[in-house]
Amino acid sequence: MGKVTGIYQCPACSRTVTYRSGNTRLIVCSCGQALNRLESDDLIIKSVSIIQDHNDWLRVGASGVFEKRKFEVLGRFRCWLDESVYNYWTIYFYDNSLAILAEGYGMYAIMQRLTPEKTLEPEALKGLKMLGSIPLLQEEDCFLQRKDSCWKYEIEGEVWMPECSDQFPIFGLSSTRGRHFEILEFLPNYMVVYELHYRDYKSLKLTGFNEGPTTSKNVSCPSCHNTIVVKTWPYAQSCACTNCGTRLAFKHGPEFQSAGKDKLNANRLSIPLGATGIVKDISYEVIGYTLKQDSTPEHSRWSEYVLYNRAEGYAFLSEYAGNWLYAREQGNYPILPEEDPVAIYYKGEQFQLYNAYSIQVIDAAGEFPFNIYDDTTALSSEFIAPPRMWIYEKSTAEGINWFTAEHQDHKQLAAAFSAELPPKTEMGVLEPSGYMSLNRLLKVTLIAVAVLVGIHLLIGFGKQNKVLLQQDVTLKDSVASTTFVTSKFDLTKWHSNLQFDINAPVDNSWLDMSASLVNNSTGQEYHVEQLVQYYHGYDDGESWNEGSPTETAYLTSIPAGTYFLRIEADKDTTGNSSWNGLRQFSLTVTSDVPSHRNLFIFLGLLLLWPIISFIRLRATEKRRWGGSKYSPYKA
Amino acid sequence: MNHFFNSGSSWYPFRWFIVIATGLTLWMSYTDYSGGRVFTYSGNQQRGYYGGPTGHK
Repeated sequence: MGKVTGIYQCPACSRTVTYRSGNTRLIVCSCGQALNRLESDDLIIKSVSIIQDHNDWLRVGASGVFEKRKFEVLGRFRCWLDESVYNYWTIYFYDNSLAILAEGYGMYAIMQRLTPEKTLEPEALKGLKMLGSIPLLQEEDCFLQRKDSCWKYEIEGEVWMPECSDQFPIFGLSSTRGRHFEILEFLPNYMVVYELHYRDYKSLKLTGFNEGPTTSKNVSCPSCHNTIVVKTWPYAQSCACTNCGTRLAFKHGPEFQSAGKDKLNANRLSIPLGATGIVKDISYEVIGYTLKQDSTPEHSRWSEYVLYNRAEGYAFLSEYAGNWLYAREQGNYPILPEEDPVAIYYKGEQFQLYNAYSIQVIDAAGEFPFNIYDDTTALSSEFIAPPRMWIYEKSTAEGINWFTAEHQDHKQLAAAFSAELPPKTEMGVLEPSGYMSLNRLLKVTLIAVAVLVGIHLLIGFGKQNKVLLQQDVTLKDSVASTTFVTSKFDLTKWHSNLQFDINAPVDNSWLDMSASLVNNSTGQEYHVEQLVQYYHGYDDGESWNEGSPTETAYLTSIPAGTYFLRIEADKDTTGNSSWNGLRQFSLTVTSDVPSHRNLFIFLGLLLLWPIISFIRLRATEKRRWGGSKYSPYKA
Repeated sequence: MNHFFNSGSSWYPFRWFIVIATGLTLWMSYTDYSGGRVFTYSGNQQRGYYGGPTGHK
C-alpha cells in the first residue's frame, strides 16, 4: 500500500512518514530515526548516522533545473572520504525520475545511473592502477582518475541509495571523449555506475537555500591551547594554529590530530584571514593561507590564500613575485594524451607544460580543504595558454585533481580586498599583456587573407572588361607627332577605369603616348601620358638592355558618361634612331578592368600587423618562459 | 556579451587586427569597385577641362 501512496508509519514513533518517490529507500523520520523501506514494502529501523550539522547552502526542499527539467532536492547521503566530504543529494524530477546531485568544494555534477555497455569486472576495476583503462563503453576507453574510500556516510531526508556496507570504495573514471563516470561499490562486488554531468553553480538555477547562520567547529590547539575556528567544517579537513604554527588534520576523526609544525611561522599575509572581497563576481572570505615551496632547484616560494563562498565553494589566490592567479578545482578537464605530456588540449586550445614539481608547505594559517600536509609526494604540473592555466595534482594513492587558474589584475585585487599587495617584480606566468596564441594568430591571419582575396575576386568577376579601342596606329614619317580622336563611347558603371595597353616596336628609341578622355557633356578631361622606350647595346664585353616595348597606363575612377578619346603619339626623332624607323604602334583601350595591384598592396598592409605581432610575441614569450625548464625558446 | 572587445574573450588580443582587417577590406572593396588604384603617386592622371582639339582650357 505504501508503494502506491508513499505513506507509511514510523516503526519507532508511529508518526506518518511520506516518501515522494517510489524508488527511494531510506528516509529520516521527524523523530530523528533513519528508516529503511524493504522490497517487501515493510519499513524497518536502519542503523545509520544522521547529518547533524546544517551548514550547507543547499538543503532539502531546494529546487533547480537540469537540461530544462525542474527538480527538487529530497535528501542526501554524505560521504566522508580520506581527505574530503562530498554530498550526494537525491533529486526528484517532476517526471518522477531520480538522479543524484553530487556537490562539494564548489563543484556540482548531476549523476545519472548508467548501464555499462560492456560487462564491468569488479576485480579488474579494484586492481586497476591510476590512469589504467577498463572496458566500460563500446567505442571509448575509460581511464581511472581517482580512487576514494568512503569510511563513513550519513543521511538526511529521503535518500536514493541502494543497500550498502558501512564503508565502500568510489572510483572516478573519464573516457577519451571527456565523459565522466563514478562507480560506487555499495556492497562487495555490487557496483553501480553513474555518468556525471558537471555544471557550474549558476547554470543549475538553484533556489530555496539554507540562508541560516553556520556553525563553526572550534578546535583546541594541542600545543598552545589557542582556539582555531574552522568555519567550513566538515569540508575543511586540515587547519593550522596562527599562534604557534601547529598543523592539524582530521584523518578519519573523531577529532583533528596534530600533523607537525610550521617550519616558518611568520604568517606574512598580504590579505588577512577573515577579509572579504569580490573576485569574478563571487563574494569570498579569506579562510586560509599557506607559504609553499616547490621541489625545483630554485626552491621557489609562493603564497596561497584559500577563499570560500557557501555556494561556489573553495577557490585559491596564488601570489608569486607580485603576480596573482585565481584558481578553482574543475570537474570537466582535459584528457591526458599520455602519462606525462608536454602539451594538453582543452576545447581546441593548446596548453603547454610550464612547470612540474612537488610541493612542501612551509607556513600555514587558517583552514584548508583536503589535507594539505600529506601532499609531498603528489606531483603538480602546470600547462599554460595565458591568461589561463590548467594544473593537475597527481597522487599515486588518490588520483588526479584538476584546477584552472587565471591571471588576476594586481590593482583590482588590492581594491577588492582593501589590502596593500606586494609590488610586481617580474613578468607573471599568465600575464595576458602581449600574449596571443600563435595558432590563433595564424588562423585569424589566414581568415583575413582569405576574406580579402575572396572579395577582390568577387568584385573582379563583375568587371565588364570591355574593349573600347583596338587599333594599330600608323605614325606619319614626316612629322614627330600624330594625333587622332576616337568615336564616342559610353561608360555605364557608376565609376570605372580605363586600361591602355601600348605595344610599340621601339628599338633604341622611344614613343610617348598621351591620351585625353573627354566627357562629351561636361567637357571634363582626364589625361594620362605613358612613355614607351627600349634601349640595348654591348659595352665592355657585356650586353645590356633597358625598358620595354610594351607598357600599360590607366585612367582610374572615371564617372559614368559619354566620352571620347584624343590620342597623341610623339616618337623619337633624335640620336641614333632612324627618322623613319617607328612606323606604327598598337593600342588597346579596355574599360572596367580588375586591378590585382590593389590586392597585393592591401595584402601587404594586412600582413604588417601579424608580422609585427609575431616578432613582439616571441620577445614577450621568451621573457615569460625564462623561468621554465620546458621553455620552447631554449636552444 | 563575449564579443572580441571583451577582455574575457579569447579573441581579445586580436581586437585591433579585426578592426584593421575590416577597414582594409572595406577600403579595398571600394577601390576595386570604383575602378581605383591605391597609392598611384606617379601623377600621370591629370584632370582638367577640354578646350577643343588645340589644347586645354
